Amino acid sequence: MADFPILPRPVLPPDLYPQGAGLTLPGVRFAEGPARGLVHLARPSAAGLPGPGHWAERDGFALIALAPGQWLVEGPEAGIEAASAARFGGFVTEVTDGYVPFRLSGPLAPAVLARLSSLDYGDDFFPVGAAARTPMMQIGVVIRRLSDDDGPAFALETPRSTARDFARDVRTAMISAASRE
Amino acid sequence: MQADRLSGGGLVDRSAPLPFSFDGEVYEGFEGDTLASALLANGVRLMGRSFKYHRPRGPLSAGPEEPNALVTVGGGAKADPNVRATVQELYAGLSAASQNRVGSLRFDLMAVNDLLHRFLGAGFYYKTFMWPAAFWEKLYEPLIRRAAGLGALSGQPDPDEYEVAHAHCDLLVIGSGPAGLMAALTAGRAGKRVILAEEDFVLGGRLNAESFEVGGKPAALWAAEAAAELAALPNVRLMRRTAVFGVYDGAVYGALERNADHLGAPPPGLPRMTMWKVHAPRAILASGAIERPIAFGNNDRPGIMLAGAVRSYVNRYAVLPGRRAVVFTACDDGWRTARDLRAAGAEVTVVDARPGAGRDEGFRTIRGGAVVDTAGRLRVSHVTLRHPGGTEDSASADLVAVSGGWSPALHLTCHLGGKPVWREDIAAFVPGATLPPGMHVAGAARGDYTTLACLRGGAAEAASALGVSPAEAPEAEDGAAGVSPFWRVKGAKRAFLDQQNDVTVKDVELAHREGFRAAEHMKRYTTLGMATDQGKTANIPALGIMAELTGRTIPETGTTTFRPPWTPVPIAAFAGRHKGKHFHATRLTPSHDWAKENGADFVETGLWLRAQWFRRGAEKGWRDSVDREVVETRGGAGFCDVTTLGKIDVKGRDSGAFLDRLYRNTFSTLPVGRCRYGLMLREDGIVFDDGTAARLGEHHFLVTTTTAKAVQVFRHMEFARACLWPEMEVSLVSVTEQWAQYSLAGPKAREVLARIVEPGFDLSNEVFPYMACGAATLRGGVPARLFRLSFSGELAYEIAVPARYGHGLAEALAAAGAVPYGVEALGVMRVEKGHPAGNELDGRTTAADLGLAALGAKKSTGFIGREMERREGLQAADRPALVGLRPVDPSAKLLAGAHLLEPGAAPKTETSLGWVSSVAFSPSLGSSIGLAFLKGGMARTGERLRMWDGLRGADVAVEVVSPVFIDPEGAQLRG
Repeated sequence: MADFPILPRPVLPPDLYPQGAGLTLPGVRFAEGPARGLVHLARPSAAGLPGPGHWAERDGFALIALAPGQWLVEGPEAGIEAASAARFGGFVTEVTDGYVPFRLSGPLAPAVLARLSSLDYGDDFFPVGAAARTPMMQIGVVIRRLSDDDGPAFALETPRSTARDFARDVRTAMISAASRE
Repeated sequence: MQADRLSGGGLVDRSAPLPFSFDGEVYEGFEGDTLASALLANGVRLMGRSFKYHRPRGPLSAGPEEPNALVTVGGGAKADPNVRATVQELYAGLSAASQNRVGSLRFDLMAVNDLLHRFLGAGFYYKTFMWPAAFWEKLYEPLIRRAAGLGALSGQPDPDEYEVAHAHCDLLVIGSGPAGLMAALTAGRAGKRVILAEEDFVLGGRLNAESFEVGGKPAALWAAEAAAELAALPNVRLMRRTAVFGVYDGAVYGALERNADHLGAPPPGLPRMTMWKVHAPRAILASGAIERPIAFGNNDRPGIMLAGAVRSYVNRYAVLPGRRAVVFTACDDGWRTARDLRAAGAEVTVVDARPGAGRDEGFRTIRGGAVVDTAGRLRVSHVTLRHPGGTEDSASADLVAVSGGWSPALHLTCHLGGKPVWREDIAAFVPGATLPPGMHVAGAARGDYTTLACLRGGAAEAASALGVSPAEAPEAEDGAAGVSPFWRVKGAKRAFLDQQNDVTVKDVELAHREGFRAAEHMKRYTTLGMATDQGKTANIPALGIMAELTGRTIPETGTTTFRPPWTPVPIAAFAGRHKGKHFHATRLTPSHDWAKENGADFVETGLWLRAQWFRRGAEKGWRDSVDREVVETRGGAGFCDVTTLGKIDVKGRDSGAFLDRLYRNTFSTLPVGRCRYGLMLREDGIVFDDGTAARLGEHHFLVTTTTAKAVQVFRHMEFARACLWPEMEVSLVSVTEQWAQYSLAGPKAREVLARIVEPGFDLSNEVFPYMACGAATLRGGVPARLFRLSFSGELAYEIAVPARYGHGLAEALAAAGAVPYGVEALGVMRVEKGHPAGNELDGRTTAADLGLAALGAKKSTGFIGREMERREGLQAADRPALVGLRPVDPSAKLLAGAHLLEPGAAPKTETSLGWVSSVAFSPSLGSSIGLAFLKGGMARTGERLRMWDGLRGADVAVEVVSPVFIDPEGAQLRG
């Protein structure tokens, strides 16, 4: 029994976000992503990993290319560092708590992203399997396109320290995009 | 009652009446009106007062080039000045007011300026108000500024929201006239991603203003059908109310979309404007042309308009702007206006400056004649006509429609340095050969003045740009548009060229006489072409007149340089969401909520918010809190959130050697489980940053940086890894966000820490000594890293946990007996201990200046900055070096930034011995203390000097002491 229990606290805690950090509007949905483990992978021994601009699933892990020779690996939270090292080799550094996962989906999702980022999220330019590291309203984000879910769907990983600002920016962009419909 | 509204025709919706007000009077217009058309429909011609002379003015145009009809829309903080009535879409409840007047619009007291016009010509302020000189700033300039001007800002913060957004396409079509629509149809039908941007709220451009047919149907109907087809194509995006205002490098176009200016009650969340950055590898500029006025006597009265604008009011808005019209033209286009006016019921006289021009169409016609002068107080009522033989007579007229030909709206072609070229056959500048990359020009913007040529040109240019087949152009008029250059009617009366700036022909003549003959000089001397309209209707006629005066051709005279923006863009639109507290993103540490709940005041440190101090009940000011935090920490235990320090994970076989090359001192020899202070230099030998490196494994280091330099240091290290030494096996990952980290300091730090680590973890000095590091588990199984580091000089630990536990660890440390302290107390304790920080690492100091010359002095391998550090200037013996300072009188206060002088020395640059870099009140010592850089450094220990600050009036006797005020032997931190 701990004398002074040290408990985890979400970055978007229910006492400050009683309705949740997300938002659902006609045509677009934004929510925190599911709990996951996340590591940074460099110089892997495994071959055939996705190249820059892409991500791919491999043995229950999502490998997201960040830069030449660097990936984020998303997988089950427990033991992600050891599991990734065992599967892919190379240098593995856990960053599970360094990022906060979000999901953005729906037909209006590209219009929302247009208000946050300079990238082209059109189907031909950012199809399922595409990934990018890009600033969104000055905040760094790793974004990847998932399989469609009632429209385009995106997974976003954003640094923990700015996650609240990021969530606010996305909600503001959603309201703007939806107000035109 | 809309007395001047035609009973039929037009694109207004008579079933949708819209009430609005102008200067407090309530009127009614229709959906589809602009404010100008609705006012004209209600018989209102007078809409503003001119800039300098306060002359009555009405609309000259029916579009964005408007110089005169500028109004303020809305009130209070939302008041929007200088809105062009010719662009402002009407909505129910719109409230507009005229500008630049004293008294009412009809009886503007400042109209007295017009009587003084002889004294107020171009550049009058350069020649008058010369004496006394002191009056210029305090009297003359304020008076002139009050007497002249446009609308006024509200002076309140803008309550509206703006946003910046990005759009991507294969082809951007700028303008939706016949050329733009055909370009969009060509690209859209070929399946290309198309954006069609139109400044107007209706697509169609001039097609909506003309009475001829296209494809066997009214031109406006053809345009509407084309727009409907485009709207149905999923690959085409129609952006109405969107002005493309600039072309930038990288095929990016700036476009301003007015989302809410046409809505009385915009939906919640809709920004007033969106500033689009359109990424378009190909673009078709189909921006049309701007009609040119002719300068003649008193040509600025309300009721004198451009002939094409008159057609817009008649055909698009179903407004008859006058019943006794004189059409004064130098081109065939004016005759169209005559026909349309007659069809609408007006009595029309045509005055064509060209002898023998035009057929006999039943108008009263004066060929080779001119309008010489006009009369009428608030609206034109008479014109003086000159006949070919020179005789003059007067005629009653309530409308004068003027056309001096058209000038292509080619401004965007010049934004990346393109120069227009003169085409004599149409007497106009057209785009030159150098266009922005990817841009094609079509339609009237390139000098194609027939509708068929525009239709075909739009399709052809889009096809050429994209490599697709052109859409088939419909049948349309293809009559040659004859035009003769005709800029002015010579006479004694004032003839206005730039109506927005009250610049007359005489002003241009004056500029010529005084030597301001180049286009750019003329502009700046007369102000022609400045202000909100940037001389869209004035520039070419003025150039024409200057060319006449100099005897040169127009291309020899030159043209002004067109720069972005094409149309006024509010600064707020560029700022978008980045304003107020959202000017930049804010970084919060994991303990932010806890700190807030516990009385923290926060300070911005870069993007981070850090707890500055924690207020307690009876404390009256920040010093009370900071002093208490220092005393409680040095007397027991305190903790401070240091999460914001940069944390870089370094892994790989060559990690140690890599760090050796980056730092002044050596890390490859550091044992696993130990930490070491590190000093990083810039290439020029100046100190870049400092921090620590902990060796967590044989090939695994954790490097910390200062908060301020975290990003720069990581970038520097990444550059070294990827570019300088790619052969080294090293991986770098920023883990600043991953770990919440706290400094726990004070004589009871070990005791507190023992309460939160898992039982059995040995914190004794023998097992975990000063500068030790390693993994630990906190109570409840929380994984942690421990570092025996001290910034305060106390027995201290830094504890890092995954960020999700940061809040909980702050709670646990407080519950275990440590008091929180903020960055102010942190700063006090580091000054007491003599540790350099940002004020000392200020981009000017070397390791030796900081007293750290011994650090890495025996190092045999090279490192960044080593060679340049050896420069003579950086080795000079008299360089100011770090010392400590104490006031001789303990109650005196030291000031950071003050100079150090010899006692009795005059305070000037030559006598300055150095400067004070950091000061603090030390509760431990009971006085102000400081760190300073002093010539001679520690060799002057014990000397008394002056601390002088002329700006703040300080002159304090100080004593030079060691910079380490507390525990110089380091017994406490090793305890």
